[in-house]
Amino acid sequence: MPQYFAIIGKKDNPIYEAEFTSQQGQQGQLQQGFQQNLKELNAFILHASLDIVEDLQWQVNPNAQHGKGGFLRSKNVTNIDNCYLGKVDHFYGLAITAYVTYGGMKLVMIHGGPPNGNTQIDDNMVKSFYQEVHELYVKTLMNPFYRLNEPIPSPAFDSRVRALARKYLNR
Amino acid sequence: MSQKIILPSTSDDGVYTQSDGYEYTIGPKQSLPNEANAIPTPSRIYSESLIYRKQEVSLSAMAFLFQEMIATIHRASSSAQDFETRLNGYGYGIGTRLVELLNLRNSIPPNYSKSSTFLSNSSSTSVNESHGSSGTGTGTLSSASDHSHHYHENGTESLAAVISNMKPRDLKILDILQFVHGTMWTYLFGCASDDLVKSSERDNEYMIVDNLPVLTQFIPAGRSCDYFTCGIIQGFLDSAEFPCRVSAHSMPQGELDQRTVYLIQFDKHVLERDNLRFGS
Amino acid sequence: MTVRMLLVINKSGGLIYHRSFEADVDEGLNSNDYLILASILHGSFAIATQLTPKALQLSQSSSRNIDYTVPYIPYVGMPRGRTGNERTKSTASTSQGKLGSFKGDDFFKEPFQSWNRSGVRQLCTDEFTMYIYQTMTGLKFVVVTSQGTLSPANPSSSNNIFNIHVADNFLRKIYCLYSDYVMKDPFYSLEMPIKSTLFDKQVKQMVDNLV
Repeated sequence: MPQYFAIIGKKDNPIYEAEFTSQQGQQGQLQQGFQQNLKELNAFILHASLDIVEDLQWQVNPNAQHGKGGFLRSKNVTNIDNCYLGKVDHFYGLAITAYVTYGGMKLVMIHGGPPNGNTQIDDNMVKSFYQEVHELYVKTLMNPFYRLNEPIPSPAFDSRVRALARKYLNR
Repeated sequence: MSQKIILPSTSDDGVYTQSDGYEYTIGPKQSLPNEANAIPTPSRIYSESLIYRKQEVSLSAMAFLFQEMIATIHRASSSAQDFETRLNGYGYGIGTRLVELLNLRNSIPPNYSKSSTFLSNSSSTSVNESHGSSGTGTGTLSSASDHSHHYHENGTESLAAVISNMKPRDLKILDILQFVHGTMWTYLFGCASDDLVKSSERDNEYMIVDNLPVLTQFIPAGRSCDYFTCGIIQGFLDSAEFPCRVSAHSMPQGELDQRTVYLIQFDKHVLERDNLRFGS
Repeated sequence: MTVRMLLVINKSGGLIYHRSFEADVDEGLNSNDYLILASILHGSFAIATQLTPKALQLSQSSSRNIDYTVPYIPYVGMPRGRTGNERTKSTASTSQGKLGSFKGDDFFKEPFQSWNRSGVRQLCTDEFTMYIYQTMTGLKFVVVTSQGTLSPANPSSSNNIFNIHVADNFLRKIYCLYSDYVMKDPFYSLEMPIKSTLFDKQVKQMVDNLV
């Protein structure tokens, strides 16, 4: 299952994007990616969900509430954690999860699914992935030469995020 | 390849060689087929742990640095207003970083600490020694062996792996102010600020009182060097999406003639949001 | 020991700080007189080396072995009623508990070297006694006390040595204050007169504690 992951900055600008494609088995097999013609839409789909994220991030307990937008939400997570927002939106079989950092950065991800059928999300794994990326982001912020809201061009960051994606998202 | 764009916001050496990090002019990269076998890019910033270590900085050293900073800004600025704005800007960047750092550190379970795992790793004799020498702090030592160690593939320690639940984000004005007054102040100055007051006249005004500002205690009154701290507060609150303006006012009271009040004026929409979400 | 006046003279002989703690001392002297006084003091301090008796100068080798260590005398000029030898005023517990960038309850707690090796350390008259403390960089702290008349019969009594040590301890603390409240003031330029109100306040407090 492919994923499209992005960190969205304060001005709704992407400061980091990546596409994770799973590698099942050995090199012989095909990589499963997004469909080429739909791939271009990923950024739009993702940004379209930001309104929901911005609503949810001010709810005291976004994961427990089934009121607003509740039918979209995954119900597996039951804790007081309000950084991880769980599944916030979906779009033709693609699921969108989100995570908000303390500084208001939005970590958003589109989970691609099998061609026909709904995408299942393992909330605990996704949450762990987000937390690890959050930590990497804080480490980036500790770099005195990095300024808030700028793209993160560091290859070290990139390689670590991809390693985390392999660890948590590709089962 | 497209024209290489020079991005000053990185100190990683990789950028000067063949970079394969994220480039926003190109967009997201796909995973490479063999990336699992690739050697992780070495980086000091990402290898260091974010865990809090007890470190004290000499106040003299800090005061001299601050003094030189003030003098430089003062030389460069044309008016008092300009001076305050610049000084504010210096603190702002610190504030924006502290929001993420301090909250993340607060999420770490209290019984997890770097020193304890370090001691349990070292030879057993040293643990016995510290057991014998003093009774303080041995409580964490005994439980240290229970902790499993979490490492990324490349050997760096990950804090996120030991966090089961992140500290909830502060959504209410009072919660975030408590955090500034308590946690942030303690981190910066070694103690909580002396008071946190809500203005009786205006709804959007809050005050943080410091009886003896650590940074500016050697600087005679008359010039507002406290705007550095204002910048930190403002950067912190702005970044946590509580936009505000912060100003410093010297308000001597009795013996405390260096007492400083930081006045925080939140933007209107912060109050509206607070009322909408949490109003009675 | 009642402090009547405190002067700070920079390394080129300019007066950068003066403060008198008795109203009547001021009479007859204007600020210009003080400047002249300071440079005379500075000059005579410099030539004082040459006034050393010939006998001492000849035995240079022996003078090299002189111990310049000043013993630490506890809590000179510190608030609260201490068990120091110096009689300190036991002020009410208004102590802020903090000594600027210095840790602990006293600025320093160890004996120190006197850098005032060639010049005058003490000047006695019938009216007053003057003590001079010189720092490594040539800065001079001068204090004038009201305690006059050393008994001529016994000029080098142990009591007098003790007084010098107390004065050295006291002036070194003023130096500590100087390093905090003058050197860490971004708006102070070196060698210029000290205008810091905080320094003024701290000095006053320390002198008051001494009484």
